[in-house]
Amino acid sequence: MAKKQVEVLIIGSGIAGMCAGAYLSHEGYKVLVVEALPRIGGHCSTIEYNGIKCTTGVVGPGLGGPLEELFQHVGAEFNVRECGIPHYLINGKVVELPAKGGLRALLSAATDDEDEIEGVVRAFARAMNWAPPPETITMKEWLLQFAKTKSVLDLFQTMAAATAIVGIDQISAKGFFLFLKQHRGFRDWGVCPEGSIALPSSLAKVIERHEGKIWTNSPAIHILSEDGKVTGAIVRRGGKELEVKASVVISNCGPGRTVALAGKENFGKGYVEALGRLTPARAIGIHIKSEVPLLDYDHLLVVGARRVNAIFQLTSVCPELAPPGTHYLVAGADPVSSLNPIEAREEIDLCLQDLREILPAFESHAEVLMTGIYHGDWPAMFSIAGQAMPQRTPIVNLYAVGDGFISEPGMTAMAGAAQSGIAAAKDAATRLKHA
Amino acid sequence: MVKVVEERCVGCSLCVPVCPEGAISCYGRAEVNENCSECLLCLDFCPVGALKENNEGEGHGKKTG
Repeated sequence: MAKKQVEVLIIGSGIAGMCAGAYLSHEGYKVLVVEALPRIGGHCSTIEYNGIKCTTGVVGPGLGGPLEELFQHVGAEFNVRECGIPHYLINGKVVELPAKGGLRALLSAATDDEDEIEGVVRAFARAMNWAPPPETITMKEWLLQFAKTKSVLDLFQTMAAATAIVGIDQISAKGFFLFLKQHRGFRDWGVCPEGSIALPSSLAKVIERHEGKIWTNSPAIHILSEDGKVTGAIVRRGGKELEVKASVVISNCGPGRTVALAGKENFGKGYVEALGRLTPARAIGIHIKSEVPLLDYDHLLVVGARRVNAIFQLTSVCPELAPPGTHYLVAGADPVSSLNPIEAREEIDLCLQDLREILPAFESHAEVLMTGIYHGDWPAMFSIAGQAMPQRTPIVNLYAVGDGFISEPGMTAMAGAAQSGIAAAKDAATRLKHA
Repeated sequence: MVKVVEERCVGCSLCVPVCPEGAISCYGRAEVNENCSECLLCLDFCPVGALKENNEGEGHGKKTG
Protein backbone atom coordinates (compact mmCIF):
# COMPACT_ATOMS: atom_id res chain seq x y z
CA MET A 1 0.00 0.00 0.00
CA ALA A 2 1.26 3.47 -0.85
CA LYS A 3 2.13 5.65 2.11
CA LYS A 4 2.04 9.37 2.81
CA GLN A 5 3.24 11.26 5.86
CA VAL A 6 1.66 14.43 7.23
CA GLU A 7 1.64 16.07 10.64
CA VAL A 8 -2.12 16.58 10.80
CA LEU A 9 -4.80 14.59 8.99
CA ILE A 10 -8.29 16.03 8.96
CA ILE A 11 -11.17 13.75 8.05
CA GLY A 12 -14.11 15.70 6.71
CA SER A 13 -14.15 19.23 5.30
CA GLY A 14 -17.07 20.69 7.25
CA ILE A 15 -16.51 24.14 8.71
CA ALA A 16 -15.03 22.65 11.92
CA GLY A 17 -12.47 20.56 10.03
CA MET A 18 -11.56 23.45 7.74
CA CYS A 19 -11.15 25.85 10.68
CA ALA A 20 -8.85 23.32 12.37
CA GLY A 21 -6.92 22.78 9.12
CA ALA A 22 -6.46 26.50 8.44
CA TYR A 23 -5.36 27.19 12.03
CA LEU A 24 -2.76 24.42 12.05
CA SER A 25 -1.53 25.27 8.54
CA HIS A 26 -1.08 28.85 9.65
CA GLU A 27 0.91 27.55 12.64
CA GLY A 28 3.23 25.85 10.17
CA TYR A 29 2.10 22.23 10.35
CA LYS A 30 1.69 20.05 7.29
CA VAL A 31 -2.03 19.40 6.90
CA LEU A 32 -4.02 17.04 4.70
CA VAL A 33 -7.82 17.27 4.58
CA VAL A 34 -9.66 14.27 3.15
CA GLU A 35 -13.29 14.63 2.12
CA ALA A 36 -15.49 11.73 1.01
CA LEU A 37 -17.79 13.85 -1.15
CA PRO A 38 -16.85 15.66 -4.39
CA ARG A 39 -17.56 18.99 -2.71
CA ILE A 40 -16.07 20.54 0.44
CA GLY A 41 -17.99 22.16 3.27
CA GLY A 42 -20.57 19.60 4.42
CA HIS A 43 -23.56 21.60 5.61
CA CYS A 44 -21.65 24.81 4.87
CA SER A 45 -21.59 24.36 1.14
CA THR A 46 -23.33 25.29 -2.08
CA ILE A 47 -24.94 23.30 -4.82
CA GLU A 48 -26.12 24.96 -8.01
CA TYR A 49 -29.66 24.20 -9.14
CA ASN A 50 -31.72 26.05 -11.77
CA GLY A 51 -28.96 28.66 -11.86
CA ILE A 52 -29.36 29.29 -8.13
CA LYS A 53 -26.58 28.82 -5.61
CA CYS A 54 -28.48 26.71 -3.10
CA THR A 55 -27.15 26.09 0.38
CA THR A 56 -26.54 22.56 1.65
CA GLY A 57 -27.60 23.64 5.13
CA VAL A 58 -26.08 26.84 6.46
CA VAL A 59 -28.17 29.87 5.52
CA GLY A 60 -25.63 32.39 6.74
CA PRO A 61 -22.85 32.69 9.26
CA GLY A 62 -22.88 34.85 12.35
CA LEU A 63 -20.70 37.95 12.16
CA GLY A 64 -17.98 38.40 14.75
CA GLY A 65 -17.43 35.49 17.09
CA PRO A 66 -14.96 32.64 16.71
CA LEU A 67 -15.51 32.07 12.99
CA GLU A 68 -14.75 35.59 11.79
CA GLU A 69 -11.90 35.88 14.32
CA LEU A 70 -10.30 32.76 12.89
CA PHE A 71 -10.60 34.11 9.34
CA GLN A 72 -8.79 37.26 10.44
CA HIS A 73 -6.17 35.30 12.35
CA VAL A 74 -5.22 33.08 9.39
CA GLY A 75 -5.64 35.78 6.74
CA ALA A 76 -8.62 34.24 4.98
CA GLU A 77 -11.16 36.32 3.08
CA PHE A 78 -14.48 36.52 4.98
CA ASN A 79 -16.88 37.51 2.24
CA VAL A 80 -20.15 37.86 4.12
CA ARG A 81 -22.75 40.58 3.59
CA GLU A 82 -24.69 41.71 6.61
CA CYS A 83 -28.43 41.07 6.80
CA GLY A 84 -31.10 43.60 7.61
CA ILE A 85 -33.17 43.91 10.77
CA PRO A 86 -35.08 40.80 11.83
CA HIS A 87 -38.85 40.84 11.47
CA TYR A 88 -41.21 38.60 13.40
CA LEU A 89 -44.63 37.35 12.35
CA ILE A 90 -46.76 37.12 15.50
CA ASN A 91 -50.53 36.58 15.49
CA GLY A 92 -50.70 37.75 11.88
CA LYS A 93 -48.74 40.97 12.56
CA VAL A 94 -45.26 41.71 11.26
CA VAL A 95 -43.09 43.30 13.93
CA GLU A 96 -39.79 44.92 13.02
CA LEU A 97 -37.40 44.33 15.87
CA PRO A 98 -36.55 47.76 17.33
CA ALA A 99 -32.96 48.54 18.29
CA LYS A 100 -33.97 48.76 21.96
CA GLY A 101 -36.91 47.24 23.83
CA GLY A 102 -37.12 44.40 21.33
CA LEU A 103 -38.51 41.86 23.74
CA ARG A 104 -41.29 44.17 24.92
CA ALA A 105 -42.26 44.90 21.32
CA LEU A 106 -42.44 41.21 20.50
CA LEU A 107 -44.37 40.34 23.65
CA SER A 108 -46.85 43.15 22.96
CA ALA A 109 -47.66 41.49 19.65
CA ALA A 110 -48.04 38.13 21.37
CA THR A 111 -50.32 39.14 24.26
CA ASP A 112 -52.51 42.02 25.49
CA ASP A 113 -51.88 41.12 29.12
CA GLU A 114 -49.69 43.92 30.49
CA ASP A 115 -48.91 42.03 33.70
CA GLU A 116 -47.66 39.05 31.71
CA ILE A 117 -45.49 41.27 29.50
CA GLU A 118 -44.05 43.04 32.54
CA GLY A 119 -43.41 39.74 34.34
CA VAL A 120 -41.56 38.19 31.41
CA VAL A 121 -39.53 41.35 30.66
CA ARG A 122 -38.39 41.67 34.29
CA ALA A 123 -37.54 37.99 34.67
CA PHE A 124 -35.69 38.12 31.38
CA ALA A 125 -33.61 41.12 32.46
CA ARG A 126 -32.73 39.38 35.75
CA ALA A 127 -31.69 36.22 33.91
CA MET A 128 -29.56 38.14 31.41
CA ASN A 129 -27.95 40.66 33.75
CA TRP A 130 -27.97 39.18 37.24
CA ALA A 131 -28.41 35.44 37.83
CA PRO A 132 -28.90 32.96 35.02
CA PRO A 133 -31.58 30.33 35.70
CA PRO A 134 -30.49 26.86 36.78
CA GLU A 135 -29.12 24.30 34.33
CA THR A 136 -31.61 21.71 35.57
CA ILE A 137 -34.82 23.31 34.32
CA THR A 138 -35.80 23.63 30.69
CA MET A 139 -36.46 26.98 29.05
CA LYS A 140 -40.14 26.02 28.85
CA GLU A 141 -40.30 25.34 32.59
CA TRP A 142 -38.61 28.65 33.26
CA LEU A 143 -41.05 30.52 31.00
CA LEU A 144 -44.14 28.93 32.50
CA GLN A 145 -43.36 30.72 35.77
CA PHE A 146 -44.08 34.05 34.08
CA ALA A 147 -45.93 33.36 30.83
CA LYS A 148 -49.36 31.89 30.26
CA THR A 149 -50.27 32.88 26.70
CA LYS A 150 -49.54 30.31 24.03
CA SER A 151 -48.18 32.99 21.67
CA VAL A 152 -45.59 33.98 24.27
CA LEU A 153 -44.36 30.39 24.55
CA ASP A 154 -44.44 30.15 20.75
CA LEU A 155 -42.33 33.31 20.48
CA PHE A 156 -39.55 31.77 22.56
CA GLN A 157 -39.91 28.47 20.72
CA THR A 158 -39.26 30.32 17.44
CA MET A 159 -36.25 32.16 18.88
CA ALA A 160 -34.75 28.85 20.02
CA ALA A 161 -35.67 26.81 16.95
CA ALA A 162 -34.81 29.38 14.29
CA THR A 163 -31.46 30.32 15.75
CA ALA A 164 -30.23 27.35 17.78
CA ILE A 165 -32.23 24.47 16.16
CA VAL A 166 -33.55 23.38 19.53
CA GLY A 167 -36.94 23.30 21.27
CA ILE A 168 -37.65 25.25 24.48
CA ASP A 169 -38.54 21.91 26.08
CA GLN A 170 -35.07 20.56 25.12
CA ILE A 171 -32.70 23.38 25.98
CA SER A 172 -31.93 24.26 29.60
CA ALA A 173 -33.00 27.72 30.69
CA LYS A 174 -29.38 28.52 31.48
CA GLY A 175 -28.30 27.32 28.03
CA PHE A 176 -30.92 29.47 26.32
CA PHE A 177 -29.72 32.64 28.03
CA LEU A 178 -26.08 31.84 27.37
CA PHE A 179 -26.97 31.37 23.73
CA LEU A 180 -28.86 34.68 23.55
CA LYS A 181 -25.90 36.51 25.08
CA GLN A 182 -23.57 35.06 22.46
CA HIS A 183 -25.85 35.79 19.54
CA ARG A 184 -27.37 39.15 20.45
CA GLY A 185 -30.85 38.19 19.34
CA PHE A 186 -30.07 37.08 15.82
CA ARG A 187 -29.02 40.54 14.68
CA ASP A 188 -25.47 39.99 13.56
CA TRP A 189 -25.44 37.55 10.74
CA GLY A 190 -24.94 37.64 7.05
CA VAL A 191 -25.05 35.81 3.73
CA CYS A 192 -22.15 34.85 1.45
CA PRO A 193 -22.64 36.39 -2.04
CA GLU A 194 -20.90 33.36 -3.56
CA GLY A 195 -22.86 30.87 -1.46
CA SER A 196 -21.87 29.27 1.84
CA ILE A 197 -19.11 27.24 0.13
CA ALA A 198 -17.10 30.49 -0.05
CA LEU A 199 -16.18 30.06 3.62
CA PRO A 200 -14.61 26.57 3.49
CA SER A 201 -13.09 27.50 0.09
CA SER A 202 -11.45 30.54 1.63
CA LEU A 203 -9.97 28.35 4.40
CA ALA A 204 -8.88 25.83 1.77
CA LYS A 205 -6.81 28.59 0.14
CA VAL A 206 -5.03 29.18 3.46
CA ILE A 207 -4.25 25.47 3.78
CA GLU A 208 -2.95 25.32 0.21
CA ARG A 209 -0.94 28.51 0.63
CA HIS A 210 0.91 26.73 3.45
CA GLU A 211 1.48 23.72 1.22
CA GLY A 212 -1.27 21.63 2.76
CA LYS A 213 -3.68 19.64 0.57
CA ILE A 214 -7.41 19.08 0.31
CA TRP A 215 -8.50 15.85 -1.34
CA THR A 216 -12.14 15.46 -2.34
CA ASN A 217 -13.67 12.11 -3.37
CA SER A 218 -11.29 10.59 -0.83
CA PRO A 219 -13.04 8.86 2.05
CA ALA A 220 -11.11 7.69 5.09
CA ILE A 221 -11.98 4.04 5.55
CA HIS A 222 -10.04 3.28 8.78
CA ILE A 223 -8.53 5.41 11.50
CA LEU A 224 -5.36 3.65 12.66
CA SER A 225 -4.12 3.53 16.24
CA GLU A 226 -1.46 1.67 18.21
CA ASP A 227 -1.38 1.28 21.99
CA GLY A 228 -4.22 3.74 22.37
CA LYS A 229 -2.57 6.43 20.25
CA VAL A 230 -3.62 7.48 16.76
CA THR A 231 -1.13 6.83 13.93
CA GLY A 232 -3.05 7.88 10.82
CA ALA A 233 -5.73 6.53 8.53
CA ILE A 234 -6.34 4.47 5.44
CA VAL A 235 -7.79 6.67 2.71
CA ARG A 236 -9.36 5.56 -0.56
CA ARG A 237 -8.37 7.81 -3.44
CA GLY A 238 -8.80 7.20 -7.16
CA GLY A 239 -9.85 3.58 -6.56
CA LYS A 240 -6.71 2.83 -4.53
CA GLU A 241 -6.10 2.66 -0.82
CA LEU A 242 -3.23 4.48 0.77
CA GLU A 243 -1.94 4.80 4.31
CA VAL A 244 -1.67 8.34 5.58
CA LYS A 245 0.57 8.50 8.64
CA ALA A 246 -0.17 11.43 10.93
CA SER A 247 0.79 12.59 14.42
CA VAL A 248 -2.66 14.09 14.96
CA VAL A 249 -5.98 13.10 13.39
CA ILE A 250 -8.96 15.46 13.62
CA SER A 251 -12.23 13.86 12.67
CA ASN A 252 -15.05 16.04 11.38
CA CYS A 253 -17.15 13.20 10.00
CA GLY A 254 -19.64 12.85 12.85
CA PRO A 255 -19.53 10.95 16.16
CA GLY A 256 -20.90 7.62 14.92
CA ARG A 257 -18.73 7.54 11.81
CA THR A 258 -15.59 8.45 13.78
CA VAL A 259 -16.17 5.53 16.15
CA ALA A 260 -16.87 3.17 13.26
CA LEU A 261 -13.67 4.25 11.45
CA ALA A 262 -11.41 3.87 14.47
CA GLY A 263 -13.09 0.73 15.86
CA LYS A 264 -15.62 0.79 18.66
CA GLU A 265 -13.35 -1.38 20.84
CA ASN A 266 -10.72 1.39 20.95
CA PHE A 267 -12.97 3.94 22.63
CA GLY A 268 -14.35 2.16 25.68
CA LYS A 269 -17.99 1.42 26.37
CA GLY A 270 -18.65 4.56 28.38
CA TYR A 271 -17.57 6.91 25.60
CA VAL A 272 -19.59 5.09 22.95
CA GLU A 273 -22.65 5.11 25.21
CA ALA A 274 -22.24 8.81 25.92
CA LEU A 275 -22.09 9.51 22.17
CA GLY A 276 -25.26 7.48 21.74
CA ARG A 277 -27.03 9.70 24.27
CA LEU A 278 -26.47 12.89 22.26
CA THR A 279 -29.75 14.26 20.95
CA PRO A 280 -29.26 15.25 17.32
CA ALA A 281 -30.93 18.43 16.08
CA ARG A 282 -33.31 17.83 13.22
CA ALA A 283 -34.51 20.45 10.77
CA ILE A 284 -36.24 20.92 7.44
CA GLY A 285 -35.18 23.36 4.75
CA ILE A 286 -37.59 24.23 1.95
CA HIS A 287 -35.75 25.87 -0.95
CA ILE A 288 -37.93 28.21 -2.98
CA LYS A 289 -37.48 29.99 -6.29
CA SER A 290 -39.80 32.88 -7.12
CA GLU A 291 -40.40 35.34 -9.94
CA VAL A 292 -41.43 38.04 -7.47
CA PRO A 293 -40.09 38.88 -4.01
CA LEU A 294 -42.08 36.95 -1.41
CA LEU A 295 -40.96 39.11 1.53
CA ASP A 296 -40.45 42.86 1.86
CA TYR A 297 -37.42 42.29 4.11
CA ASP A 298 -34.47 39.90 4.36
CA HIS A 299 -35.85 37.48 6.87
CA LEU A 300 -38.94 36.71 8.85
CA LEU A 301 -39.06 34.76 12.08
CA VAL A 302 -42.40 32.99 12.20
CA VAL A 303 -44.17 32.47 15.52
CA GLY A 304 -46.84 29.86 16.12
CA ALA A 305 -47.03 28.28 12.65
CA ARG A 306 -47.41 24.52 12.16
CA ARG A 307 -43.73 23.93 11.38
CA VAL A 308 -42.01 26.88 9.67
CA ASN A 309 -40.04 29.05 12.08
CA ALA A 310 -38.05 31.27 9.73
CA ILE A 311 -38.03 32.40 6.12
CA PHE A 312 -34.87 33.86 4.60
CA GLN A 313 -35.04 35.73 1.32
CA LEU A 314 -31.36 35.28 0.60
CA THR A 315 -31.41 37.17 -2.70
CA SER A 316 -32.57 40.30 -0.85
CA VAL A 317 -29.14 40.33 0.77
CA CYS A 318 -27.19 38.76 -2.10
CA PRO A 319 -28.92 39.00 -5.49
CA GLU A 320 -25.83 37.25 -6.95
CA LEU A 321 -27.14 33.93 -5.64
CA ALA A 322 -29.74 33.69 -8.43
CA PRO A 323 -30.10 34.87 -12.06
CA PRO A 324 -31.39 38.45 -12.45
CA GLY A 325 -35.08 38.72 -11.60
CA THR A 326 -35.12 35.43 -9.71
CA HIS A 327 -35.53 35.29 -5.96
CA TYR A 328 -34.19 32.50 -3.77
CA LEU A 329 -35.64 31.81 -0.35
CA VAL A 330 -35.09 29.14 2.26
CA ALA A 331 -37.75 28.36 4.83
CA GLY A 332 -36.52 26.64 7.96
CA ALA A 333 -38.72 24.36 9.99
CA ASP A 334 -38.52 22.32 13.10
CA PRO A 335 -40.04 18.86 12.83
CA VAL A 336 -42.02 17.92 15.91
CA SER A 337 -42.72 14.28 15.24
CA SER A 338 -40.11 11.56 15.20
CA LEU A 339 -39.12 11.44 11.58
CA ASN A 340 -39.64 8.14 9.96
CA PRO A 341 -39.83 8.21 6.16
CA ILE A 342 -43.63 8.24 6.05
CA GLU A 343 -43.91 11.13 8.48
CA ALA A 344 -41.26 13.04 6.52
CA ARG A 345 -43.82 13.71 3.79
CA GLU A 346 -46.38 14.87 6.32
CA GLU A 347 -43.79 17.21 7.80
CA ILE A 348 -43.06 18.73 4.38
CA ASP A 349 -46.80 19.09 3.68
CA LEU A 350 -47.22 21.01 6.94
CA CYS A 351 -44.35 23.31 5.94
CA LEU A 352 -45.95 23.97 2.56
CA GLN A 353 -49.31 24.72 4.17
CA ASP A 354 -47.55 27.26 6.38
CA LEU A 355 -45.81 28.87 3.41
CA ARG A 356 -49.05 29.20 1.44
CA GLU A 357 -50.62 31.00 4.40
CA ILE A 358 -47.67 33.24 5.27
CA LEU A 359 -46.56 34.26 1.77
CA PRO A 360 -49.42 35.63 -0.38
CA ALA A 361 -47.56 35.16 -3.69
CA PHE A 362 -46.25 31.68 -2.88
CA GLU A 363 -48.95 29.72 -4.68
CA SER A 364 -49.00 31.89 -7.81
CA HIS A 365 -45.33 32.82 -8.31
CA ALA A 366 -43.09 30.43 -6.42
CA GLU A 367 -41.67 27.03 -7.15
CA VAL A 368 -40.33 24.60 -4.56
CA LEU A 369 -36.83 23.64 -5.68
CA MET A 370 -35.88 21.21 -2.93
CA THR A 371 -37.25 19.92 0.32
CA GLY A 372 -34.36 18.90 2.54
CA ILE A 373 -34.80 16.96 5.74
CA TYR A 374 -31.80 16.90 8.01
CA HIS A 375 -31.92 13.98 10.42
CA GLY A 376 -30.50 10.48 10.91
CA ASP A 377 -26.93 10.22 9.60
CA TRP A 378 -27.15 13.75 8.14
CA PRO A 379 -28.69 15.77 10.98
CA ALA A 380 -28.80 19.55 11.23
CA MET A 381 -26.44 19.10 14.19
CA PHE A 382 -25.10 15.97 15.84
CA SER A 383 -26.05 17.38 19.22
CA ILE A 384 -28.50 20.01 20.38
CA ALA A 385 -27.00 22.96 22.23
CA GLY A 386 -25.55 22.22 25.65
CA GLN A 387 -25.08 18.45 25.29
CA ALA A 388 -21.87 18.22 23.32
CA MET A 389 -18.93 15.90 23.97
CA PRO A 390 -15.28 16.96 24.45
CA GLN A 391 -13.01 17.17 21.39
CA ARG A 392 -10.34 14.88 22.84
CA THR A 393 -11.42 11.29 22.31
CA PRO A 394 -10.22 8.28 24.36
CA ILE A 395 -7.64 7.64 21.58
CA VAL A 396 -4.61 9.88 22.20
CA ASN A 397 -4.14 12.56 19.50
CA LEU A 398 -7.49 11.72 17.88
CA TYR A 399 -9.83 14.68 18.13
CA ALA A 400 -13.49 14.80 17.16
CA VAL A 401 -14.85 18.15 16.01
CA GLY A 402 -18.09 19.55 14.61
CA ASP A 403 -21.44 20.49 16.09
CA GLY A 404 -21.47 17.44 18.39
CA PHE A 405 -18.23 18.58 20.07
CA ILE A 406 -18.73 22.23 21.00
CA SER A 407 -16.91 23.09 24.22
CA GLU A 408 -17.82 26.73 24.77
CA PRO A 409 -21.10 27.29 26.64
CA GLY A 410 -23.71 29.19 24.66
CA MET A 411 -22.16 28.29 21.31
CA THR A 412 -24.17 26.27 18.84
CA ALA A 413 -24.74 25.68 15.13
CA MET A 414 -22.08 26.99 12.75
CA ALA A 415 -20.28 29.24 15.25
CA GLY A 416 -20.18 26.30 17.66
CA ALA A 417 -18.84 23.92 15.03
CA ALA A 418 -16.13 26.45 14.18
CA GLN A 419 -15.33 26.83 17.88
CA SER A 420 -14.89 23.06 18.25
CA GLY A 421 -12.45 22.95 15.34
CA ILE A 422 -10.43 25.91 16.57
CA ALA A 423 -10.28 24.60 20.16
CA ALA A 424 -9.09 21.17 18.99
CA ALA A 425 -6.51 22.78 16.68
CA LYS A 426 -5.11 24.96 19.47
CA ASP A 427 -4.86 21.94 21.77
CA ALA A 428 -3.21 19.89 19.01
CA ALA A 429 -0.74 22.70 18.26
CA THR A 430 0.35 22.78 21.91
CA ARG A 431 0.84 19.01 21.95
CA LEU A 432 2.73 19.00 18.63
CA LYS A 433 5.03 21.76 19.88
CA HIS A 434 6.02 19.67 22.88
CA ALA A 435 6.14 16.32 21.07
CA MET B 1 -31.44 2.65 -12.99
CA VAL B 2 -29.82 3.84 -9.74
CA LYS B 3 -31.38 2.30 -6.65
CA VAL B 4 -32.30 4.15 -3.43
CA VAL B 5 -31.41 2.26 -0.25
CA GLU B 6 -34.54 3.31 1.58
CA GLU B 7 -33.33 2.71 5.12
CA ARG B 8 -30.32 4.95 4.53
CA CYS B 9 -31.96 7.83 2.64
CA VAL B 10 -32.75 10.73 4.97
CA GLY B 11 -34.48 12.89 2.35
CA CYS B 12 -31.90 15.70 2.30
CA SER B 13 -32.50 16.29 -1.46
CA LEU B 14 -28.83 16.94 -2.21
CA CYS B 15 -28.93 14.36 -5.01
CA VAL B 16 -31.69 16.22 -6.85
CA PRO B 17 -29.60 19.08 -8.34
CA VAL B 18 -26.75 16.73 -9.23
CA CYS B 19 -28.66 14.58 -11.71
CA PRO B 20 -28.02 15.75 -15.30
CA GLU B 21 -31.22 14.04 -16.49
CA GLY B 22 -33.44 15.51 -13.79
CA ALA B 23 -34.36 11.93 -12.94
CA ILE B 24 -34.33 12.29 -9.15
CA SER B 25 -37.11 13.75 -7.08
CA CYS B 26 -37.06 13.92 -3.32
CA TYR B 27 -40.08 14.54 -1.20
CA GLY B 28 -39.24 13.00 2.12
CA ARG B 29 -37.15 10.37 0.35
CA ALA B 30 -35.27 10.20 -2.96
CA GLU B 31 -36.93 8.52 -5.94
CA VAL B 32 -35.24 7.80 -9.25
CA ASN B 33 -37.32 7.65 -12.42
CA GLU B 34 -36.78 5.97 -15.79
CA ASN B 35 -34.85 8.96 -17.20
CA CYS B 36 -31.83 7.77 -15.16
CA SER B 37 -28.91 7.23 -17.53
CA GLU B 38 -26.83 5.44 -14.86
CA CYS B 39 -24.08 8.04 -14.97
CA LEU B 40 -23.75 7.38 -11.20
CA LEU B 41 -22.86 10.99 -10.38
CA CYS B 42 -25.47 11.02 -7.62
CA LEU B 43 -23.70 8.15 -5.82
CA ASP B 44 -20.69 10.37 -5.18
CA PHE B 45 -22.75 13.28 -3.87
CA CYS B 46 -25.01 11.40 -1.45
CA PRO B 47 -23.75 12.22 2.07
CA VAL B 48 -25.16 9.03 3.58
CA GLY B 49 -24.40 6.46 0.87
CA ALA B 50 -28.09 5.86 0.14
CA LEU B 51 -27.74 5.56 -3.65
CA LYS B 52 -26.41 2.38 -5.19
CA GLU B 53 -25.74 1.10 -8.65
CA ASN B 54 -28.44 -1.39 -9.48
CA ASN B 55 -26.59 -4.55 -10.45
CA GLU B 56 -29.74 -6.60 -10.77
CA GLY B 57 -31.34 -6.78 -14.22
CA GLU B 58 -29.75 -5.25 -17.30
CA GLY B 59 -27.52 -2.47 -16.05
CA HIS B 60 -25.92 -1.17 -19.26
CA GLY B 61 -24.99 2.40 -18.41
CA LYS B 62 -21.51 3.77 -18.29
CA LYS B 63 -19.51 3.58 -15.09
CA THR B 64 -17.40 6.15 -13.31
CA GLY B 65 -14.21 5.77 -11.29
